[in-house]
Amino acid sequence: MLLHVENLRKIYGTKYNPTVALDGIDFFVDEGEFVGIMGASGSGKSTLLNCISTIDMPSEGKIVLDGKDVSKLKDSETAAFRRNNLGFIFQESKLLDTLTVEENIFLPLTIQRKQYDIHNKVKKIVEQLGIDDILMKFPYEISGGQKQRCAAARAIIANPKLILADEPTGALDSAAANSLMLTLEKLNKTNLSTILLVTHDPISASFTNRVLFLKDGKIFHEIMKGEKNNIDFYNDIVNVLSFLGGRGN
Amino acid sequence: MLIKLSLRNSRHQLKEYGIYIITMIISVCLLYCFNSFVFSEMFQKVVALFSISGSSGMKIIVVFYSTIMVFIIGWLISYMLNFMLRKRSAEFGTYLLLGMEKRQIVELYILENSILGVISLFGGLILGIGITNIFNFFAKKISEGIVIVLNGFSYNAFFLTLLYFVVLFGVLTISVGIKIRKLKLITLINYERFNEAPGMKDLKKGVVLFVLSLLGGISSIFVLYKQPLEESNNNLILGCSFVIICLFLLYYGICPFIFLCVKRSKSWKYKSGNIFLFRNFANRINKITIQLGLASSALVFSLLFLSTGISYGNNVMELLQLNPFDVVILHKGEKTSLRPYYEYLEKEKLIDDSCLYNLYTTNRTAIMSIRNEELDEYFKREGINIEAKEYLYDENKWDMYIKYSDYNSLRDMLGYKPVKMSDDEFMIHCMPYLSKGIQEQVSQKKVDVSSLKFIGIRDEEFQQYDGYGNGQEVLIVVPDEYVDKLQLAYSMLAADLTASVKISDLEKFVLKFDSLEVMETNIIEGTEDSMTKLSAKKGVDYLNGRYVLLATKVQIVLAASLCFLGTIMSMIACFVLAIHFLSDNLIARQRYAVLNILGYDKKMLLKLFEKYIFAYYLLPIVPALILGVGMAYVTVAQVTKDFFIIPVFTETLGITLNILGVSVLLIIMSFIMYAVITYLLSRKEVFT
Repeated sequence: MLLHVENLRKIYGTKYNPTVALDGIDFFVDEGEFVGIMGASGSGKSTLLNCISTIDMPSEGKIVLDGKDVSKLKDSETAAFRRNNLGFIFQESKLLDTLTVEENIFLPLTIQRKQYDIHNKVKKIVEQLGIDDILMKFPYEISGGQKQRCAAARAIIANPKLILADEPTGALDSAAANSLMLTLEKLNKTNLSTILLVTHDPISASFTNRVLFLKDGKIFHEIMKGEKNNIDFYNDIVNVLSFLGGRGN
Repeated sequence: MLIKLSLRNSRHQLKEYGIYIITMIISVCLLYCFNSFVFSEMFQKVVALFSISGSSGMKIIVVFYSTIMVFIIGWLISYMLNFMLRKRSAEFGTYLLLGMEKRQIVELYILENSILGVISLFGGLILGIGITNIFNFFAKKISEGIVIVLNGFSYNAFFLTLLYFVVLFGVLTISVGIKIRKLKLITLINYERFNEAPGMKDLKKGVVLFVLSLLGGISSIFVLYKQPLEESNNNLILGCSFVIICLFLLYYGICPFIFLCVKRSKSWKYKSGNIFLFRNFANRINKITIQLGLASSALVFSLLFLSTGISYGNNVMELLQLNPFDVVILHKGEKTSLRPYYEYLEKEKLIDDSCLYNLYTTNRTAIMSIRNEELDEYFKREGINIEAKEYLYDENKWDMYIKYSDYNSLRDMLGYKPVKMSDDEFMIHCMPYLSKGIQEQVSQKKVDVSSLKFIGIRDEEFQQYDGYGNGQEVLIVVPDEYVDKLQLAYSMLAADLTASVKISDLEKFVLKFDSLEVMETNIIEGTEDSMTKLSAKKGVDYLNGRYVLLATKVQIVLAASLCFLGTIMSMIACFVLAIHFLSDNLIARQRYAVLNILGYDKKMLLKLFEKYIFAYYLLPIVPALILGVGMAYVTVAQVTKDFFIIPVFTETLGITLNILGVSVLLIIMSFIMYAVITYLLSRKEVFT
């Protein structure tokens, strides 16, 4: 078990006017899993991701990653925790516009104090992701899909234990989205990367092995892909979403 | 409805974009101060003085800097207006979506900016008037009430500033309004997202420009030191042009040059934060190359003006020291009584101490020939193309004498210890540069001065500079009876005035007596054998001394003008740099947030930020100081040399370095102050 989330609660607002974003979330993720988290707007998906990634602190509960309780980390320890254990892919890629693609990719390695053969590491990853021809370009010179693949390369270069992807296909067209999801699927299968994907898109979710559905801050349902193909898994997802939307009644 | 909306928006903008309103206020203030300075009586005198001497250098400098000021203010206003458009583009897009017409939005924009413009204009004018008055207060205090630098309130400056600002602001606001009119709705909504493409300029081109800039810098130093052109003004203009070229090209080329040097170094490239720091820095420099060139040039000229101004001031101080008596009245030729002047000053309680005495002469040139030899040697050494006898007043070509009793009375007035001398002895009082030569020649009896025994030399300040005082640089002190054999040269009254005396008291004093005139240069005329002489009117007595110098010496005016101009230049440079840095806060915040997510902790981020701001401020000041010190060294040395024809300072290098040191320190201090304020403001916004 790589990640264990136990009775996680996140409450915003004041004592007299609280907003419960997460209401007792419990789940786990094994090493090598590709897990999707789905739900409507306001269901708590991004809040859950922010708590796991230490960007935000939970109000109650535990988040244990690789045996370490991240909910108890001090402010000064969270950055170090992120750089040693996590990789991020955001909806807007968040590549630094002043750095080239290559420099954006190896940036996480420069923060760490370990010695790496950075050049070769970058070479291996970019070949794998099919972005070796754009290394010297700046983010403004490449397409959205290419940016997201660069973001994926940056996310995995330091061999993080967990990759967190927050709506990575949100700003992409269907072709680019499909390409990115295939990339993530490949990373999961070839590199055995553990990926937690937050999305509202059933097509993207169909690439995962397991999908957790959030509703009103709680895990409403969970489905497994098993031996199904993406299309069948997609249908399962859509059915659950319909039910979540009230059509199951 | 539109007016209500405009007012509400303007109030909101005042809070939101406070820094930009302050920018405009300070811009107007700087413009007013500059115009006030140009229109001041003092500065008009300086320009007139230069024009009389046939030089249009000062006018060229004024026109050049007026243009630069207008350009900078215009650029600041334009930058601010475009920045605010970027920030409010989504808001304007929303108005359009809600059904407002573009014409109405443009009207709204112009109305709001007019309100802000009026606030900035009057805020700036009030601040400018305040600053000029404060500057005057200190200038008067330093110069003992003599010098008024600027007009407290100048109508010309006020209306010119108003005109410049209204025209610039009006034109630029309307041009942005036209821009809004042409923008499509979708562009307005996404306007803020359109960033300029970052990245390095062409590397090879950058390196070439960098090398050219170095050559420009070297050329400027060469021109200033070697003075290849005939006219010294032309050398200065050429040198300044090379400096400006050097600085502008430098910022185009420095980042590509550094990048080419470091790109192969993997240890540097992959070390924590270096690549982010460098790219960020290079990106910034690429965007503001012209502004950096401007700021750096302004710093160079600030240093030049400040050090030249201080140099003039220093020279004036030295000149005042060489004229230790507050007032000296001189009558040439036949015996006359200067007692009425003494009685008037005594009656008006203007006098602290005084001495009525005479100077005598004879047809001997024993000492004056030593003086001429020493001076000729000095002129030859310094490459000054004149002879000693050309810098000698006709009346002073003979040795000059003073009675021993009068000499000690004058020493007593100046607080010097009295000299003991017996009836068969004589001594010499001269300027320091003559001491050694005279001592040698007289004590070795190489020159026969008189039948008396020589007992030595004194060289304290004694009103011996510039001829019509106690001898032209040298005076022979003899026993009182000795002068019976000599001819009367001048009758003199030397007086020290009380501390409360003002220039107006002296003006009244001069007006009281028809026979009294202030000694000015136009009463000196040339002789056939290339000397000058006092073209004294019959029966006229001439007023000289420290107070007259203060009132008439244009160098005081020049000193104050240059220091003021230097201060303005320095403020402009610091200001431009600060505004550019602070305007990037939002983007910086986003970038540092990404780094934080990737694993940089706050301490590491702060360290990166501090390195960045350090490099940002170091970049314009280092080349400016190098070139500025080079230029200022030449100018200060020249000013010192030109101010005193004879060697007044025993050691000019030390003085020059001292002046440069003070100027550099003043600039660095104000620069650091701006940098620290920028750092604190920026850090607060970026890291909250």
